Amino acid sequence: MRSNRIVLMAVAVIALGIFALPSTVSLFSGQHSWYELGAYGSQVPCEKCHSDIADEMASTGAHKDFPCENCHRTDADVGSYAGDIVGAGTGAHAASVEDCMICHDYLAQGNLNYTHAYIDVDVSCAACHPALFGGGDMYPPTAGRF
Amino acid sequence: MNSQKIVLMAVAVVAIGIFALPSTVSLFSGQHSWYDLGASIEGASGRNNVPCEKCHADIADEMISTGAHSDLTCAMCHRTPFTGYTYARGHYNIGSTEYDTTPGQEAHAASAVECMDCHDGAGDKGTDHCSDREYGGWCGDCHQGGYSADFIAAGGFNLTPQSYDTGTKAAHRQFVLDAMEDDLMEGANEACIACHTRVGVNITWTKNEYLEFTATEDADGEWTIPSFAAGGENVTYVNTSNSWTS
Repeated sequence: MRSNRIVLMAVAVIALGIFALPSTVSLFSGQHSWYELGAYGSQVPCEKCHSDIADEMASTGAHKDFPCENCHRTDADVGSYAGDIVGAGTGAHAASVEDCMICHDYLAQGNLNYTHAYIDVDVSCAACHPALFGGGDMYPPTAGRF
Repeated sequence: MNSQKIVLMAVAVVAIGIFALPSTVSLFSGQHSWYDLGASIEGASGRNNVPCEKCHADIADEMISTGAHSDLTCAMCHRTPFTGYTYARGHYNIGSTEYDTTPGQEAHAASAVECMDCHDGAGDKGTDHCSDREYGGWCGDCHQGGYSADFIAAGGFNLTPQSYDTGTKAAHRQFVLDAMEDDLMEGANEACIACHTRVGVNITWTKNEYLEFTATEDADGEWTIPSFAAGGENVTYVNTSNSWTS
């Protein structure tokens, strides 16, 4: 009877261990499953932490088709963002805090401070340049008359 | 008849012994089959050949099946000279051709490391990692695009020595700085792990709700808006599950 209890206890501990201790010594399961950083853009999913902002973007008006990097990884003044294309970041690592006019001053001032180096051209040209795809304007609307 | 019983008993004892008592007096079979710490692995003499994957097969699975670091050995991070630690060595020391063992000091087989030990853009930091047996011949795994010290640096936070790493427009700089102050993980690892791995996140965001400003018109009809401020408070919860385990 006593040995039966010990066996049952051992089975319970092992069963708990299987579910409660899936990893060995790292603090988190998946801590060593890194995102790929190669190629265009960044494959780190911004929405993982910023799903609230992604909800705002996807459900409302202008910019709803824009990936995050179309605004937050496009400032030429940053120098370089971190990634395989250029290397280490300089003025920003993953993303920069941006000035709306970085895109919307094109026709007004002609000093476009915008880099396309980090944008995945396969998916996002039409978001800013719909004319290339059969409709709309060639450039983002200029915030003119100021 | 009696002798037949004895023979049967002997056969039974031998049979049980074969299955139940494969070793003599050691607790485990194989308990005395030590790994060779001074032998060659893949032609590079002196590399550590204790198999980390024996106990950490779950972590090895994560490493080989996903993204960045998939080609790196465990030792390249967890026995790196960039920590400044002296790890136990049962083989040649760095830069030596003499067989010499080294007892560990700050760590024995491996240490928990800061991501920034490698990604701080500070290069060798006085070490000669190229001649370290854990690194020799594996150059391209880290230096895929070139050999400059800053190539694998986590630049853009103003944390590397390069003068052009200003971090002036970095959206996540405070996240990294606060992670460095927290002691849950080494260095800024909380921030690195949250963004660069499939570990889930549970975030409570407290944000402002409205813009505050004063607009004043003078006697000439000119308007001035001297300052802007943010006010109100909205709390939003973001729960993203671990995409490695789920």
